[in-house]
Amino acid sequence: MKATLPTPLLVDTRAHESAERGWFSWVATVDHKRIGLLYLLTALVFFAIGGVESLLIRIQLAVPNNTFLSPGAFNQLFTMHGTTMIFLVVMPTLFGFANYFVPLMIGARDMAFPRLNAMSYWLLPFGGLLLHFSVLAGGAPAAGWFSTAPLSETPYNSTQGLDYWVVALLVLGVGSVATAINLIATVLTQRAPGMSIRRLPLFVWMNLVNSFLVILAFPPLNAAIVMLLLDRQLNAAYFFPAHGGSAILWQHFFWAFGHPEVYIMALPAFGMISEVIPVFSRKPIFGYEFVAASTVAIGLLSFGVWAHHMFAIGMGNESVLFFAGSSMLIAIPTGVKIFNWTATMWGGSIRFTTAMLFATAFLIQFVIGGLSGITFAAAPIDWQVTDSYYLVAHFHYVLFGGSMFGVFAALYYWFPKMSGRLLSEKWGRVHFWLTVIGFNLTFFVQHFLGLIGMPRRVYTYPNLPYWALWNMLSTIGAFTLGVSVAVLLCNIFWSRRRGAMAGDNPWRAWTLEWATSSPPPLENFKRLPPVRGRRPLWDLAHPENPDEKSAAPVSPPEKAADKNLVGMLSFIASEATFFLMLILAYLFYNVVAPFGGKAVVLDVQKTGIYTLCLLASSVTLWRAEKSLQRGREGSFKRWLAGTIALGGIFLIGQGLEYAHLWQTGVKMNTSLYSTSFFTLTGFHGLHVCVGLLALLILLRLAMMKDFRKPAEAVASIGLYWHFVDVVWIVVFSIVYLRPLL
Amino acid sequence: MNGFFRTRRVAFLLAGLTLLGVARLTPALEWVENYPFSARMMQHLLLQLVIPPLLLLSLPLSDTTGTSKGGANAILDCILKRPLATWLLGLGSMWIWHDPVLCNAAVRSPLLHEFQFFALLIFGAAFWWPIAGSRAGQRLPPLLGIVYLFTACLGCTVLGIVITFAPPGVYLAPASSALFGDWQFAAPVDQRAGGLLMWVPGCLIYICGILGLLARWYGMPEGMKIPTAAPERSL
Repeated sequence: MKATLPTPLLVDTRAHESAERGWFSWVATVDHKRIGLLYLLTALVFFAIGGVESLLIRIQLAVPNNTFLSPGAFNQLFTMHGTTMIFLVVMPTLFGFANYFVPLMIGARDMAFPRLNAMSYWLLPFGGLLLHFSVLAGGAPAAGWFSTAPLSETPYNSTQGLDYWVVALLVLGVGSVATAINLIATVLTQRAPGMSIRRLPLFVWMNLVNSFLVILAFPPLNAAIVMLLLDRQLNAAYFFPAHGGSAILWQHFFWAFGHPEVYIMALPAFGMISEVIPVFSRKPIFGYEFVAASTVAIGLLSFGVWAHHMFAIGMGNESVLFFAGSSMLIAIPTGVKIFNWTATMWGGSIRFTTAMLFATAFLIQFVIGGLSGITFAAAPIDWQVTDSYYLVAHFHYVLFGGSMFGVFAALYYWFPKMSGRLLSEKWGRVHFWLTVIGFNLTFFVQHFLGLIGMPRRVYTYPNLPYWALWNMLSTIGAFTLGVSVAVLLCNIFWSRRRGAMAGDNPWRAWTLEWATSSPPPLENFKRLPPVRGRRPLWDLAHPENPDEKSAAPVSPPEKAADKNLVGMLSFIASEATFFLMLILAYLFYNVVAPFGGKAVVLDVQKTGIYTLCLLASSVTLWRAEKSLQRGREGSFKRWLAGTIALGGIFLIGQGLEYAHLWQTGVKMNTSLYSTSFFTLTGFHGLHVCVGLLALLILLRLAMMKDFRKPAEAVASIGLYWHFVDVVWIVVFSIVYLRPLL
Repeated sequence: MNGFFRTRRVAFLLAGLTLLGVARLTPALEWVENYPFSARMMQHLLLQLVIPPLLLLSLPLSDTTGTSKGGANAILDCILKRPLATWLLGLGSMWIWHDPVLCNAAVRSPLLHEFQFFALLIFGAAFWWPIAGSRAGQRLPPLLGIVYLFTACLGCTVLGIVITFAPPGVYLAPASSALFGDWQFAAPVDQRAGGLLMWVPGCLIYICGILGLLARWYGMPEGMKIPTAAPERSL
């Protein structure tokens, strides 16, 4: 019953084997499994660092009026703890599992863009190093993980910590968006025959939805931190109210990222739970369609509710009303998932392995975090408990009790596949119980602390009734958690060498990753079983009782979309969102809340001519594509050169305009108008430069006749170039033409 | 099964007609000018986003791909089978009617207001055609339909944000309103509420559409040939 392999999978692996040994092979690797492991190991290192930071915080808070840490050190520690855990631990861990298992679960040989994948990974350690280098450069950032403006502005945070924070987040953001683009292209174009999108394992489906969240949610963050960097380095005043800026705009931009980010950290964990619970309940997932569709609903809703992080800033009752309502709606799709998971367990023959224990605890703890989340959607409650330890308790129940428990479940579930050996169940149980006790002791009492008024982010507290008791309990819980992590580490290192051999499929699971050896060979599958339903290995073992009774025989591989096209479209979606944020910022500072300042006269006619050049370059590029399709190489090169020349003229025009403005005394920090003008047009110019560079590379390749797939390359880069032109049409209309109305 | 679909269609028809009645009759109670901006926004949302899909879904689904030759039908067909065109028409009408100049003019001139009423309905119907239209061949495949709705939702959200943050007084405030006078609904609040209606509930309508598409997608038997030919090419 085994289908023969498509030819690309039958590669000679001997050539690769010599390149598989030694530490350099890990640095140079583009294999998705090794990159996945690198992600997980790096996240583990940062998990230890972030964990020690949290322990220091808890030591300081163990007793009232403590002087173990100075107020400044405390601020740095909670900022670094939050940033580290979110950007250097949870996200990389989820990306690591996605990297390792998404290609395996869809029967692919690797990610769609292996080298891009390696780049995404290497941005992670370098981003982490940048962030931590701030400690040596005068002090770590100290404005909280969301760097509230204007606290994050130079007068209030004068060390370079925040600048490092901004640059590190930019680097990490680029890596995350690249990974997301890669995952989208992988899932949409690299699936095995028969693995239709409706048959995707839920972990893969949720990573697909999640990747769309990443490419659309990171641009608002990037726009915001770039603006913050301009404030800090070039004396602009985007978020500095004393000079006309708006601190509230920072909150809008940051939370437009920050809220989807919560789901970016939760959805893949939901996916892990959706894999673990069915396998250890020996039942298929209950209501696959509902779990899948509710994921989409959560993803969409997450973009429409960010203002609930801002109830306390005085947006006006009408705004609060709408966002309170929409925030409560999120409980519906999340509740649907909880019911589905519970119904999957209902009547199943449950095996409480460590993975299943973590998944079960996830269900309970995530419900607690979700319920306290709903209380925050009620604005009057939010006004009372925001920025108290009640909030700290809430989001730790979501991110630790939820996401991290999902990750632990996945680790015990998939470790055998990654290492070939089982993690010790005995030590796993010790780890589980220590984690459950430590976690709930640490954070459950913080609900009470918050409700009786203890504010977060304050380095110490007076000896009020019960405050010392609850805090001491919380600190004891935190150290219990620390011990549990030590147990986990010992378990990993011991089992890695001495654990019981796993075999291909120790859990008798049903998805494709279990159809290959543990660990899988470089090419992933020697033989790929046929995919006729959502549980290929069940169908293989029970041909008399397949999941899809009326399933047609395995269809020949559909003609999948071109991965370059999918990748480029995803990239453009992300870039379009970035420009949308810059345009909204421009409109905000010049139409909604103009601050005045020196009037600037732009030469519309001159720029209009350069604009025509840029638009003409789209036409010439289109002609170049046509020539290539007709096989006229000479004409292709000429049209391409023409495109480059026209793009160059546009850039020169923009340079001349900048020079003129500078001569007349209009600089970046002259007014909010000039700041937003230079930011918007400058970033567009930067994109034109990147486009030109890509076109020049194309031209050079065409000259050297070194094209493997010229049509696809030209189509992808052409799309980007047309996109840059469309952006300019919008920018030109808003910046140059609108004032003429 | 046929009975179920007929009942469902009747339900869609009744819901659509009821809402059409609500959207149509409300301004007759009192002159439009006396209505708060937010009430007009509610009307626009109903006209463009809610009533058209309900009425379209009440039509029986036909398998014809539409090959009428010549005349107005062919022109209509030419537009309706191009999702990019219907997308632009739908979102364009949404944006253009909320340009302050046009939006305020529609309040002052009863004739223009009447025109706006039907324009929103018709352009709304064109927008929803690739999702809920009665010709199976001209419907978008579900996943592309999700992209279609999501991008439109984004456009609508941005419009809502722009209106919410617009300086107070950009949109005409009601001179006097008997209905809302007692509520002390100040003009700036009214304008923000109008923008928020477009932003948040407007977005929810699209999400409902997307969930409907997912339901339709999962309801299709695996391996069924999804009619893609015409729409995909024009995307």
